[in-house]
Parts: sequence; C-alpha cells; structure tokens
Amino acid sequence: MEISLSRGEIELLTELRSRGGRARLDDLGLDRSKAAAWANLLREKGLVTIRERRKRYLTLSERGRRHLDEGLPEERLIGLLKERGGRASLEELRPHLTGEEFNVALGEGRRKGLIKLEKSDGETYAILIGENVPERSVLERLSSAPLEESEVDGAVLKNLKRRGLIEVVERTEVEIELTDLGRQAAEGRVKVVEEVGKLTRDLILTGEWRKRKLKAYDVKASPPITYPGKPHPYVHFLEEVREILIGMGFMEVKSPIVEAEFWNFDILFQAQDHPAREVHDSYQVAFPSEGADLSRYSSLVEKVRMTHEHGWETGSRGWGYKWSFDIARRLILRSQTTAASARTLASGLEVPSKIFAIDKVFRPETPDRTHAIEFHQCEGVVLAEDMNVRHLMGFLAEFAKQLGFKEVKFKPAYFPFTEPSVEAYVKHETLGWIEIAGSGLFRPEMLIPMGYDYPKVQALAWGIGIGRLAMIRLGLDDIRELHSQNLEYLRRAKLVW
Amino acid sequence: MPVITVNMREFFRILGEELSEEELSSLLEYTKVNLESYDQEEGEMEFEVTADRMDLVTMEGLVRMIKGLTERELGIPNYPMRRKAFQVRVTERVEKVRPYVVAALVKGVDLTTEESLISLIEAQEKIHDTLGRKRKRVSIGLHDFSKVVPPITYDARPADEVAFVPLGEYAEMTAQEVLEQTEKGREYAHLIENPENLVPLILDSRDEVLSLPPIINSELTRLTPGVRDLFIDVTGTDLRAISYTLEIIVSALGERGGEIHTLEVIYPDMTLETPEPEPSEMFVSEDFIRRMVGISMSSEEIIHQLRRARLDASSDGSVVKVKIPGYRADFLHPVDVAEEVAITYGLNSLGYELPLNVMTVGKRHPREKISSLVRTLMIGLGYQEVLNYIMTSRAFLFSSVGREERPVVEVANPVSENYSVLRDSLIPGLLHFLAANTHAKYPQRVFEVGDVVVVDESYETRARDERRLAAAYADYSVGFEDIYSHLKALTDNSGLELELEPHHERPFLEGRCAKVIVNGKESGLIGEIDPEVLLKLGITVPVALFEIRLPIPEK
Repeated sequence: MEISLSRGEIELLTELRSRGGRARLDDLGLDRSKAAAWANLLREKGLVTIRERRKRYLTLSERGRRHLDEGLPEERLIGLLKERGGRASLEELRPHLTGEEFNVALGEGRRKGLIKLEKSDGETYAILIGENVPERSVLERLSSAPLEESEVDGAVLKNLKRRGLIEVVERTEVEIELTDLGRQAAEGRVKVVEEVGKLTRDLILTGEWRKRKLKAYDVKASPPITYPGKPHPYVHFLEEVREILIGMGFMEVKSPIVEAEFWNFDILFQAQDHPAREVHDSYQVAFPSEGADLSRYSSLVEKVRMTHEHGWETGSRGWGYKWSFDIARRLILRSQTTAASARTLASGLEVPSKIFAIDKVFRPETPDRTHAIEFHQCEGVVLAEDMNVRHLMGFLAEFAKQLGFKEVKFKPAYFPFTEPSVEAYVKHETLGWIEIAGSGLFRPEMLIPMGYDYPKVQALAWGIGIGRLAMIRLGLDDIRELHSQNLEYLRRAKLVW
Repeated sequence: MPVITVNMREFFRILGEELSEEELSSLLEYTKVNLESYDQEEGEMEFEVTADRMDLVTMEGLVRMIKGLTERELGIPNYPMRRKAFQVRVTERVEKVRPYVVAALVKGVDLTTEESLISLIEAQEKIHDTLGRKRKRVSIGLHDFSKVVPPITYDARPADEVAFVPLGEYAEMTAQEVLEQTEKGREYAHLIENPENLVPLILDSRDEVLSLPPIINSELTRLTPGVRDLFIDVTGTDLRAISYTLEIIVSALGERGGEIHTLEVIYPDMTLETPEPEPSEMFVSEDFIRRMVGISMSSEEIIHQLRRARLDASSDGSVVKVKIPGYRADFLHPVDVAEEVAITYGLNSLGYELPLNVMTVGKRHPREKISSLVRTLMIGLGYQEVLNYIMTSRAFLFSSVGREERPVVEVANPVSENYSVLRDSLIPGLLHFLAANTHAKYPQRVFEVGDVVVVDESYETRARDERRLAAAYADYSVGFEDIYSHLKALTDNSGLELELEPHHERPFLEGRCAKVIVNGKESGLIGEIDPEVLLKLGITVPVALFEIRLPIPEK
C-alpha cells in the first residue's frame, strides 16, 4: 500500500504524531488556514478525524473601549455624586453627561442598586447607595485578551451585549486526531509518497514535474487572507461624489481653514449679531491673534458694509445696524464651505460657471454619535443667467439621482444668504424621507456687491452634510467612525461604488 | 431653530377646526415650519420654526398662518385698533442703562384657560432666548392692566432707593436685594450693570413698580386666567428688535380677539407710536416674481398666493403693492415677496427642470489632482489609507510623540482641551493610529493625505493650509531603507525629483533621519522613529515614516 501526500500534509501528520496523535488546530504552531486545509485532505484520505466545537468569544466594541477609558455612564454618575456628597438633583447632574448617557446612567444606576431617586420640593434627587459596577472588571479583562462567553457571569454578559459594549466573535475550535491508518503512515509503517504542491522553477527545468504527482487543489478551501493597500472607505466615497460633480460640469474650488469672518459671514449677508457667529456656533481663533488682512478687498468690504447697514444699491433695506470692520476681520475656523464659494464668486467668475467644494468645516459641538467637531460639507453653485427656483430643484434632483436616490421632494426653508431657500429630501429604502441638502438662490445683498447683474444673473447654491450620506452608504451609525482609528475595520471595510 | 410645544386642544379651539397629523403635515409643506411631533396621548404638538419667522413662536401666529393656507381667512387680519390710549415717558438717565422701550395696551383678550396663559408665557421665553439673545437685546413684560394706573414712566433709579414685591415673592424687596437674592436677579443682573448702580424701571402714575426689566415683573400685575386687559412693555438695546417683538405679542393677542391700543412713547429726543398702526408697503414687479418662481403666473394668482400668506396685495397689472404687517420682519427685499409666492404656491407644484444650456467644464482642483495621484501610488505600494482629525490638542501633537513644541493655530473657545489647536503635521496622527492598533496584524503600512495648517503672518488669514502626504511602515523588522525605497518609488513615478539631506529632528532617531527635498525645495522629513517614543506610545515594533508637502502647481 502506498499513500501520496503533499509536503504540508506530511508536516501535519508528523506534528500530530509528536503530540501523541491528537491536538487542537490552534496549538499546532502552523499557519491556521493552511493546516485546516491539510487536515481536511487527510480526513478524506482516512488518516485523521476532525472534531469541531463552536465557541463564542467576547471582544471589546469600539464603544466598550471608549467607556473603558472615559468610564461607564453610571460610573461617571457615581463620580459626580461622590463629588457632591452623595446627593444631587438631576438638573444639576444632567449637563455633565450627554442626553443618551444620562438616561443610561440613571437606568443602570437604579437597576444595579447604586442610586435611588427621591423627590422633594418638586425636584428629583439622586442618592448614592452603592458603588459596585461589575461590568468594569469584565471590560478590563477584555482589554487585554478575548474571553470565552462562558467565563462571564450571565447577567453581566446580557447587560454588556444590550449596551453594545462587547462584540461576540464565533470561533470554531478544531481538534484533529490520527486514525490507525494515520498513525501507521506517520510512523512509516505504510509507505508515503510526497506529492508536489507548488510547482517550482527547479521542477520545471529538471523535468522532475513529469515524474512527480501534482497535488489537486481543494478549491473549496479558504485562501490565506491578503490585506491590500486600499483607500479609506469615506475618502473613497468623497472621491465618488467629486467625480459626479465634475461629470456634471462643476469646477472644484478651495478656501483656507483659518478664515476671516468677512468671507465666512459678512459677505454672505449674515448680520454681525447673527447667532451663528456666537462662540457656541463657530470657533474663534486665539492664535494667530492679529486679524485678517483685508486691504486687498477694500472696495468690496465697503460695499458689504453699506449693504448690511442700509442695503446700499441692492434694493434691500439692510439690517439697520452699525457694521464693524473689526468683527469682519476676526479670524475663525471655516464653519461653512460657502466661504469657498463666496471667495470664488467675489474673484469675478465668468457667467455661466459651475463650482463646487468638498472640504472640512468646524463647529464647537460636543462630539457624540451624531455630532463631530469637524465634518465635510459639499457645496455647489451654478452661476448663470435666467436661473430660477425650478432650475435649483432640477440640479438637486439630478445630483440626488446620481447619488442613487430616485425620489426627491422639496420643502421651504430659511438660510440667511439664500432666497428662496429650499430643503431637499430624498427617499431611502429603509430610512424613509431624509433631508440631504439645504439650498437656495443667493440673495441680491450678496451677489450685487460682488458685481453680478442681479436679477438677470442668479446663483443657485446648495450645501450637503456629506458625512451623513456617507454613513448611510457605509452602514455606520456613529459619525466618529468616519475617522475610525481601528485598522482592522479599515482593512475589512467594503468600498462602495 | 426654535421648537415650540403647543397644547392641541387650545390650538384647534382657536383655529376653529381639528386637523389630523397628515392634514397638518401636508399643509406645512407650504411653509418653513416642521411638525416635529403630534402626540394625542399627551395632547401636545411640537413645531420647529425658522429664525426669520419669530411671529410663529406664538400658537396664535401658527393659527393665523394655517387659516390662510386653508383659505378660512385671507390677507392681513383686521384686528380692531384704537390709537394713542396714553403716554409712556422715557427719562434721559435710563438711556445708558437699557436705552429702548416700546409698549402697547390690548383689551378684551380671550385668555380664560390655563393653557392660553401658559402658551403666552412660553412664547415670551422663546423670544427671550432667541431674538432676545437671552434677554440682552429684548425682554418682554406682560401685565394685568386692571392693576395699572397710566400714564407710564420708563426711568432708571439707584437700586437701593426703590422697593417692590417681585413676581413670586411675598415681601417687598429693594431692587438691590432683587438683583442679589433672587434667582432671576443673579442670572440677569450683568445685563444692566452700570457704574452708578441704576436699575431700569417701568412705573405707573402712582410710582408703583410694574417691572424691573430685563429681570422680573412686579407681583402687583401678575397675570391670572381670565385676565382681559393687558399692558405690554418691551425693553432692550435694539429698537428694531423690540418693536418687532411687540408686534409679535400684540398680534397674537389680536388673534385672541383683543382690541389693540397704540401708545405714545415719548423719548427726550423723539416720539414713537407703538405698535406701528399701519403695515409697511413694498412694490414688486410682477415680472421679477415670475422670473424667480420660473412659471408664468397671472396677476390674480400672485395676489391670491400673497393673500394666502396673510399679506395684503394689489396690482396695477405690472407692479404688485404688498402690505406687510409689523410682525413679519422677513421682508428686506422684493425677492422675499417672490419667495412667499413660490412657497405658498408650493415648491413641489412648481415642478423642476434641469437647465441644459449651462455648458461649463468640470475640473478637479490642482490640490486634489496631485492628492489623487499620490493616493493611487501609495495604495499600489500596499498602504492602507487613514483619515485623522485636523483639530486636536497640543499634547497630541507634541509631548505625546516627542516632537518639539512650535506655534500652532489655537482656538479661543474649545469645547474640550482635546480639540483646541490645528495640526501642523500628519506625523502625530499616524503614530497615534499605530499605537491604537498594536493588536492588529503586522506589517502595518498606513498613509494619510490631508491638510495641515501652518502659522504664516504674511498670509491673508495669518495661517496657510498645506496639503501633505505622510506614510508609516511598522513591522517586526523595518528600517530607513524600506520607507526610503517607497518614497523613491512615489517620486520617480510621479515625475518629481527627490534628494535627501542629513538632518536631525525629534521624534526621529539621530543618524536615521533626513530632510526630504522635492524638486529642489525642502518638503518634509523621513526616518526611523526613536524607540523611546514608540515605547511611550505602547508600540513595540520599529516604525519608519515620511511626511512631505505636496507640490501644487499655481493655477
């Protein structure tokens, strides 16, 4: 009797023999996916038996990792209560956590008997009565190595799963054991002929390949995993959007991240006391401390001043206040990509022109699932004669169609620098109607100071929070994942096309 | 955008009909208002209104709008009005404390239910928070007129020389005590700080304090359900904003059947009649309206739509005369009239059209062109692209990765220390990324193409964006040559000339670092990272890295 085996199969056979004839796949010290393939081949030849047991392992989710660093909401609540002598009103505690976390902290706190609530004088107070948070130790153990599901207390496990703090990874544990025949082959009592796996230059040149047995590949076996060099899935999506807009005839424009309020607000006819200009809606620059140098634009600046104050020659009555140059030259971080459109329009564009910008904007938001301190906006402007609100909606419908949305509808809206203003909604298969763009025709108070012949020349403009669309396309539910720090996620992420 | 909560029963009572959620939503498609919730169990609805339509923060304003859309009523409502009921005198010394006041009297208002009063007070608070900029610019006082003996004086007096019972208290307090001891006093006292310690006061002819704006009213004129006659004062720093606010409140009371009485407000140097008895007028060419909405509408249609929007309009066949009530502050320019026609007609009824005659050439920005090329090459070299934040902290950029401190753009109002400066290099982001992924399989090759911001006083906005590329290679055994070979592949394949100059800079290892010269210009750094830095970050394999500024051709 003679058995033909590949070099790998022989290696596995030898390895098993040296371990007393039986071993777990993971303990073999061989490449796992290769060894599994060899084992399957050996089983077909009756040399080994394979037993599989499915095991469920726990690992930390991204949120779990974050809570481990920042503290679980209920732990932070305990901390807050301790600082306050163990008792505080909910109203006092609420601002220290986000709305969602606050609710979780209260719910978990009561469930675990850490706090109780008490009403007095129309206010509700939380009172600290315990400090034991069993999730903490599990999260800490998980941060160093995965655990088997059975190693964690059932109630704690359920809680961690419900809160999305852990992920369950199923792994199959494979045990391989030599059969009698296998044992004989391994011990040389049955003759083993080596099959050729990979063809080599040597085998070909020497003609040896004609004499040797070439192993047939098991095409059902998984190949080794390759991680290719690869675009970031979000950047890849942004490139797709860029391609759509270029295809529609739009030219890409840019503006600086550190921007003068003049370009971000004043030229857009946003009054200097507009709430969007206050500290909680745009980032003010502390350093460099010198304001912007707008000397090059003095005649434009003067027209903008007059337009704000009394409407100048725009036919508007203006905002009726004393405009300040010092506010206009203050530095901020670009809070809307409209600044890029404004700079480009003010530089004197030919009519017609179509421009777009895809860039980051900055707002002082507390980061959470739906808010980021910096996010991408996608902005488009069509500057042409005889445009009207129907054309605006036409461009929006076309852009939506290119992005893969078939149905679109429009709703009136208010933006300080467009009139009429329109919000565009698209129909998503599962999410229903979602708002995708704010848009409108730029106001005369903006276009006339720039030298355009309003109303003959009109500018259709829209802005899209493109990150939200990307999240839908990429199947993400936390905006922070667009800047994911997880290499494994990036390696596995599918690219949309 | 303000969200207002409305009691359903009260809302439908004054509207005169009940609307289902679907009926209400589809009417609101013709407005800028969104229906946020319709909760029959709680008997409440929530509406989100836009900042240009503060007249809609009152339940009555919403009702007025809906009556127009359903055509139960058209044009400007005809609230009964009488002129110049009495005078409000403004003294000279109040000017430097809180300069402006306007006021009105409304008689015979239907405020019989608890809900009607609550809704009025909620509208007042919404206006304080938005238009009123937390009472700084605008604050409203509502008074039971039966307790008031006109005429009225708006004066400023020393805080310790005047006393009254503030709303919600039982005992008389001096104004000084009100500022220091009441919750509202502590919250808003800073709005009227002045060196002479004067407080602004609304006083009646008996010298009774009606209110201490913008802080608190007097208990004397407290509103109770069933109140019929209201005296309203609005004070602030911006005459246009307080006049607008008065119009909003008065018209809401008009909608509840009130008879509006204007008052004469006599300043040392001017006399006003408030609220403004006549609507303002705007003349708009019909052709301009048709040009903006994009369909040919008849004169009659234009006028009908404006009347549905609760404006008065008439036309001589080419120019529309539009009358605009004082509570509509959103008409600055004829284009605002055109918008009113478009949205009341219905955006979705207008239909849309893609203009095919706007021929222009699409083009990628030069900065994105080269970015796209280097991304392609880096991916070809086996690198995974990553994306990091531009906003970060000083510690992230410098001490944590062993870089030497240098000036970076800093914001004045960070939400957290973690996001308080702008990155001046992509290197820290890549190192932190590697540190966060020490459990993932090696080799790890990652790159980022992105903007950094460099302080440059000579630039218009004192700081310049630079588009850079950085790439890091981490493996059990990796070194200078490996990353150099990749950089060389990158420059060779994109037609750039590459030279290295010996150099030392942290966090690179001495003797294993160089300046990168691209096309003769200093463009970045390349080298192996100091293991001291790696260990601090928890990285236990060698890391070789480069960063270069991408050459962007002038347009």
